[in-house]
Amino acid sequence: MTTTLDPRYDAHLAALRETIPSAASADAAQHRLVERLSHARTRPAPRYARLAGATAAACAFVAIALLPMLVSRDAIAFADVQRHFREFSTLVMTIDQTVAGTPMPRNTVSATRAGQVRVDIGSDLSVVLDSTRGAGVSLLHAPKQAAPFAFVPGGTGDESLDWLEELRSFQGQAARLPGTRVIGGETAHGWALELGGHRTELWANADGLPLSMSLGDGASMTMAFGFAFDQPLDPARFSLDPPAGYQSLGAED
Amino acid sequence: MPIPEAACLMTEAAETSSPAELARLYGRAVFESAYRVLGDGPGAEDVQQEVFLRLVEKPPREVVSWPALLRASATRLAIDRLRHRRRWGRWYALFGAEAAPAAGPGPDADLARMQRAAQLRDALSHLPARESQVFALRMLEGLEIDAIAALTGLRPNTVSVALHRAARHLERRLADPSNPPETHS
Repeated sequence: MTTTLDPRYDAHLAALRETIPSAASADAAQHRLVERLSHARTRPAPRYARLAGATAAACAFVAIALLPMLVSRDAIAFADVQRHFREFSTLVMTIDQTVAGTPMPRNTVSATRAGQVRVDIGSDLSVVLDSTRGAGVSLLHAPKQAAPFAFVPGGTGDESLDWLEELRSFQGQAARLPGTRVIGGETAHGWALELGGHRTELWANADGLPLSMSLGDGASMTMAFGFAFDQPLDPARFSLDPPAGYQSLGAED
Repeated sequence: MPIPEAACLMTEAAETSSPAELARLYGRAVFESAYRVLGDGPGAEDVQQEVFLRLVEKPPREVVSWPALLRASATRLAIDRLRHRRRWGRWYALFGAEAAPAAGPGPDADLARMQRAAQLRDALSHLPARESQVFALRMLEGLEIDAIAALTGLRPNTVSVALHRAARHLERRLADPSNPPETHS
């Protein structure tokens, strides 16, 4: 079977094929690549790998004894983590972001299983979305203004939570991180996985309840998420009506 | 430039090439593959570095063709990045951050060509990952079905089906005037 794109789009395909970087940018990238690789080193082997010889038999015994339990616990635990993201009734996320080392105002995202989402951006702006109605409202708190808008349900209005769908359906390899952390007074176990092309670390308690997540390269951008599942949320926070005292600015596209 | 098919038939021993040597030989080709998908230099450079740093951390054992493997890796990572931009673009905008450097036209740029490239790039970002990767490897990198199957671990028939679906999805999206390219800057 030979598949081609409809000839009407030959120009689109040609345009993409002919997207070529300038020689200067390719040279600069190549130079930086060679420079970076000159400092790159393979990760050191785990310390226990060096314990060959006299302790090898003991290590092998311990590994064999623990392996089935560790494998099954990891598999079940991460499935539990995913289950919380699939089955929540409400979810509140706090998001702390740094861009180029500069911290941004904290944002809080509240979502319900019914498709209502509220994003509070610092203390200045809130955006409320109802994906079932394809309607939303932006609330500017300082001037007390409300700007309603419409969007296409299932289209761009829902894409802000696409990462959640990717996490829910993740079937790749989530690698267990060594050690534990204490998050909100609970002992948390971590996994590393790739979401949206970015390394992501997800931490959950012993029941698989997600507590925090971080992603980013640690240099240009990092995002740290905190989670609270199935907490009661005030329905008024998802109302599309302008709050008392707010001036409605009229519908936007 | 697409990977010559003959290159895919070449057999090389992994131990004969260090990541640094491979970077010297194929670094530019990897950068070009990523740039073609992403349309911007900083993003392509990130992909280029990631391709080779992964080689340092986890070198593959048996490689039939280094140029094919490296360009396929670059294409896959660039597609991931393209999808990530679309997915997170709205967040970045909300938080006042810039998701991706916009590829602005140069002094002699053909604006219409750049717009068509942006439309196809945007349409690719909406495809399922497997479909967009297979499409890019076939249509942009010029790999044959069997070579794509070998590089992705899919069956040739699966590759063909994914390619067919990708083409039909892209045609539908490109034909829909309500789907202008999204920008995330």
